[in-house]
Amino acid sequence: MAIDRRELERLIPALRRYARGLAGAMLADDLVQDCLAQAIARERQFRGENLAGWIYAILTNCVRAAARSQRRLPPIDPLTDMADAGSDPASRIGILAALGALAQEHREVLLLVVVEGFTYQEASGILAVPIGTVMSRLARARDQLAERLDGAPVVPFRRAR
Amino acid sequence: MSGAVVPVSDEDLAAYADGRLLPERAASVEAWLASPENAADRARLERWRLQDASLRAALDPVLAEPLPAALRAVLGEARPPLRARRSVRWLAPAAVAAAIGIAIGVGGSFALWGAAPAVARGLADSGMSAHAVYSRETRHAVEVGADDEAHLVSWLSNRLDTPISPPDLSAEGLTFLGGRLVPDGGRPAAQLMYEDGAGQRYTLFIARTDESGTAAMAYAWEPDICAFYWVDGTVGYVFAGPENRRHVEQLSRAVYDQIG
Repeated sequence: MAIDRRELERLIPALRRYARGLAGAMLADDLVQDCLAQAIARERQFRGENLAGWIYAILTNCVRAAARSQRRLPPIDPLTDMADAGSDPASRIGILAALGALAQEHREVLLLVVVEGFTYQEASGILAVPIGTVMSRLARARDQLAERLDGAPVVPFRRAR
Repeated sequence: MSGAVVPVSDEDLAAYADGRLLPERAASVEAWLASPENAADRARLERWRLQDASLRAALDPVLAEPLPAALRAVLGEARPPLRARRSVRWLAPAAVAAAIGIAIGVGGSFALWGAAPAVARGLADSGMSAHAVYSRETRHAVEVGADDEAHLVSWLSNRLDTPISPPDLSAEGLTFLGGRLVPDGGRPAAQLMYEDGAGQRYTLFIARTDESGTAAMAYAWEPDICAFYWVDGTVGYVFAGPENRRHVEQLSRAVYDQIG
């Protein structure tokens, strides 16, 4: 069924946030653009249930495809990936560096549940894995993030491009 | 904190951190955490909560950033409806031409026929030469195939800096093959290619024009090719196909209806 363009447009800021966390600022907007183009091209396949879940699944696949075709995504560069506003830059740089070091599947689940606020059920639909997998991945992702944060310097060196 | 101490799994702990446990299960997780020998997990949970909060704090500001124009452009709907757009500078001559359409030999079934401004005529030439060159390619007809339409759409939309979306002509018996970037006087233009059941090729050429305006549909012909072309705002279109004017006209109308 046809997608309501306004509803789609309202999702864009959050899609950009998800893409930023998954793939970094260099690629995020290109990936969101690919995702929107695909969604529109395939809107007849949309069954009208849950637009956000459907779009996030497409975006997740766009990111995975990009990671495959480039062998790996460029490293997240916390200094450029950090959004501008807000306080306490040191802790934000640290958390993004740690996030960037996680495996793709751990980043996905962490961002979907913690940042995007999806339920386990919804995340399981988006990632096409059982709900138990969502929960165990989430626990692992959080532990690994904690590990990286412990070991990471507060302000990491800027990576060479 | 007394009561039955139920073993708590990592999954329980994660769900507890996310506030997604049923109240009775949450209560037993709390009881478990309160017991001194589980202090490590209490610290772990605290850690999770802190890092969850910093993750949100680091990424939420993205929400407040202005949307890049390209993203809105993909939606292609920020445009006002077709009727409202079609009244810029060239409308007056076009309307006059419509009135005398038959006299200038372009009478036909389009509601509005235009006397083509020079810019539109140049457009028709570009579109028809691109058609002549690429529609004869059997193996390399397109650069990006229809199976990778999303990529094609975002690539061409980016290069032309305007949303490009291939019209669906399957109802007219045409299969979308894909498209390519083609040069148009040193600037990028797009060519989308279709094929009918008999293997005849049809192309839609899309190019940006120098100035904004509106040119109603006009007909152009050269040996073996006929085409209809029009301009809408700063985007010009040429739909070209084999010499069968009625059929190409009907297809052009379908294209026009879909993209304006």
